[in-house]
Amino acid sequence: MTDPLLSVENLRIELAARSGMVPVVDDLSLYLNAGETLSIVGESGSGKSMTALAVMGLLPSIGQIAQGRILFEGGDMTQMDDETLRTIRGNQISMIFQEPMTSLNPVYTVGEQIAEVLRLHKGLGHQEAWARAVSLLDDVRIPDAKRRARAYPHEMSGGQRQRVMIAMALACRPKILIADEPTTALDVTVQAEIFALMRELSRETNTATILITHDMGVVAEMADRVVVMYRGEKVEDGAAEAVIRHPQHPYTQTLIASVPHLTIEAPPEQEPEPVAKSDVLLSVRDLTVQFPVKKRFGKREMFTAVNGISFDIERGKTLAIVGESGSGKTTAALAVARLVDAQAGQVTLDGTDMLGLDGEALRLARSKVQVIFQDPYSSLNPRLRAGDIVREPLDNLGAFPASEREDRVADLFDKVGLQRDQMRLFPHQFSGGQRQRISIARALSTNPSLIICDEAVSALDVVIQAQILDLLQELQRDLDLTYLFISHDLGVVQQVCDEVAVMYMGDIVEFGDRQSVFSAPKQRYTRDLLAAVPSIERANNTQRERQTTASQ
Amino acid sequence: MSDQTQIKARSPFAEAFEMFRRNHAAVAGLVVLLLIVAVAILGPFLYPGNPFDMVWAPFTPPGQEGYLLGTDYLGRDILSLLIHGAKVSLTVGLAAAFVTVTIGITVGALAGFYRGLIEEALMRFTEFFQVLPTLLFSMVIVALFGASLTMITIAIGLVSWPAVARITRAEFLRIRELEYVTAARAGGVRNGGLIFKVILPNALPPIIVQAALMVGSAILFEAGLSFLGLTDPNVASWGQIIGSNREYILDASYTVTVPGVAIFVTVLAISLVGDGLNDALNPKLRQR
Repeated sequence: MTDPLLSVENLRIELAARSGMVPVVDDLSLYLNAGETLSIVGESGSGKSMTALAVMGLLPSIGQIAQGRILFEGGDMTQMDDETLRTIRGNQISMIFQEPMTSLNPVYTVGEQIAEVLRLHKGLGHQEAWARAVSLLDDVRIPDAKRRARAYPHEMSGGQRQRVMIAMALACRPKILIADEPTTALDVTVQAEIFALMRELSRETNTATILITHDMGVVAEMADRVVVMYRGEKVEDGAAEAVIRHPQHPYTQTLIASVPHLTIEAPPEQEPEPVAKSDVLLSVRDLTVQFPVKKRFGKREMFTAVNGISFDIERGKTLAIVGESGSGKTTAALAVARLVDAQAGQVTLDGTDMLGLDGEALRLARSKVQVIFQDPYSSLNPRLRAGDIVREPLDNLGAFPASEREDRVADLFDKVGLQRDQMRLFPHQFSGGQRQRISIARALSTNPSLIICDEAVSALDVVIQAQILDLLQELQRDLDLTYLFISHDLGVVQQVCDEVAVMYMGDIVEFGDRQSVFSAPKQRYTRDLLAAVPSIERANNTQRERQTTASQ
Repeated sequence: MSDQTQIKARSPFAEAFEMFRRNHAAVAGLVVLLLIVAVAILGPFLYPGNPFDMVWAPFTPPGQEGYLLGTDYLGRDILSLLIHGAKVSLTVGLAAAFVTVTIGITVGALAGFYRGLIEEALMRFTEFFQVLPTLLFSMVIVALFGASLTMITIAIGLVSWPAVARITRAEFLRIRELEYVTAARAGGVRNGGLIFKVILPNALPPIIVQAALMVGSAILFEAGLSFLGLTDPNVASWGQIIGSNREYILDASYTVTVPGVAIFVTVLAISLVGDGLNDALNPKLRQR
């Protein structure tokens, strides 16, 4: 067997913290052969990104490699000087980052940025570099590359920007491409396109890829081999298919079990009759939300975010609204809660006309509908103690007599699985999952009849995500809650919902119960959306096909 | 789980204090500042008497005849003037900063929270004050309404609040879009509560820093006005000492140097403290 292209041996990375040097990666060994895709999987804080940065020689200033070697084509990168490293970095090993919004320089056109890399590393002249940049943009399937090369980053969509990043990374024909969660910030259909592109390009150019991700579905679709990391250590590695099929380490098993994968549902036995719903809690009719976008000579132009949608939710059920970013799903939900103003339509919650309320009546009606937000870091006031955060709605809405509120808060902490003495702590002292539990306790505090979960689990690691979803379902059973569940993740949606509304550009394009939407989607957009979700099962099938064709 | 229950509740301000304590320059500044405050409060008791009394021959150099810092052109004890002046200078600085912050926060918070017409109106109003030549405007106020300390304080406050208003508004614009503010709104918090209890406490750090630095610049401003003679002639302040002795700057330079150094040290100490506060209250630096 030939030597691997890259091998990492007993790597230990330490970061400076208040208490001294803390290891974030310990005794990690891995290798990468030419042309293959290796995936490093783990939750946030597992050290997977640090490993990538170490390979690039880009560790943050507080970090250092304490031990181990990184061999690239036989040379130890940990011993190289900056000058030598620079000839490798960006040239032989290049990297794509997670956030395509911030990793491009906003004041240069994308063509110039790619051309600069070529001038720097390959010594090309201006015109040559520009021509090559255009052809690279063409390679990453940017339509009309010649013209688009003159576009600035903000004139491109997120997916296109990530394509530009890939073009830039591939500009010098690197031997290794490191992709750190390259699609986390992108919509699922765009993600599918980017992955297809990466697969094609690595086949065409025989580039080896290190793909860092937290999503086992992505691993199943993309990787040849996988390394699973947990708290800085490698807990398992092997061929992707084998690891996914027969995970050995308990953590890998949890990781795979937590992935909210799409299961193939049996189609409903018969077309469900559109029966009149018996106990409608929330009824929305022709809801329209518009935002002013620009003023020209004092005239306001309006952007329609939600375009006259209608739906009902029965008491005790969950309706999921799915859609990609910009589809208007969050706006619609916030309009129902009167946190965003609607321009037209009717919202009836438990017999109350929500859109007709204002002033004090509106304020008091807020106890009926509460929201669990997406970002566990910005949804809790950093200056309040956890107990006071949960208590805030109780005090303001006068739910429960003042003497009972203390007990009510303690009770809620029990319900969401937090400890009572954590009530005194401040938000930054909790982990992401715990913060989301505080958020849930706050939403439950006033006994609302409707709870809106706005991407409530999207920002969490899969294992934590599974725990929070379990908690939400358990609470629904115990307390007979009604959820309006907003998500872009179809796997999650399938797990929790009774009915689904698919939104696209402000309209509901498909509506139905879970079974019929997931097994027999009527609209093309829904089918595309479903097909784009990385799935372990489907990937296993295609991988088997790939292997059989390869062996023939 | 058992060790998690041991965690002490640490408020963001407690952590900021911890950060501040580790900044040696800021701590030194704070010590100096506290000394000056102590002198301002206790000085008149330790060094009684009217500082305007003529005690010895004019222009006695420092250290002679038992006068540590010498006497000025009217034969007044400069040390006594300095000690009594400390209180005035600091009071003017603090009071002017208070006026500044009060007007600034009110205007900035309302503009940032309500947006729309209110914001337009308030920000145009702010800009109007911002484009006025500050020194001239304050001179006009003092000249029109009399050179009392109150008037000087108000004049300084009136010309310095726009900076605070802009910072407050910027912070409000940022924070009002955060999810915890929406969550508080969903939790039935009234507008007044949103402004003062939810957003303002989170907007305070940069305002506190600005206010601290404002104390220093107000002291300088007061000194500037006094130097130009726009001051209450019956009250000793550091600027007034410099102003009244300015004609003898070449013959008896110590008469202006000594109060000048006092102003310099005080403003420097305040700046160091403000800088320390900035580092301590800035969460991005706290990671280091």
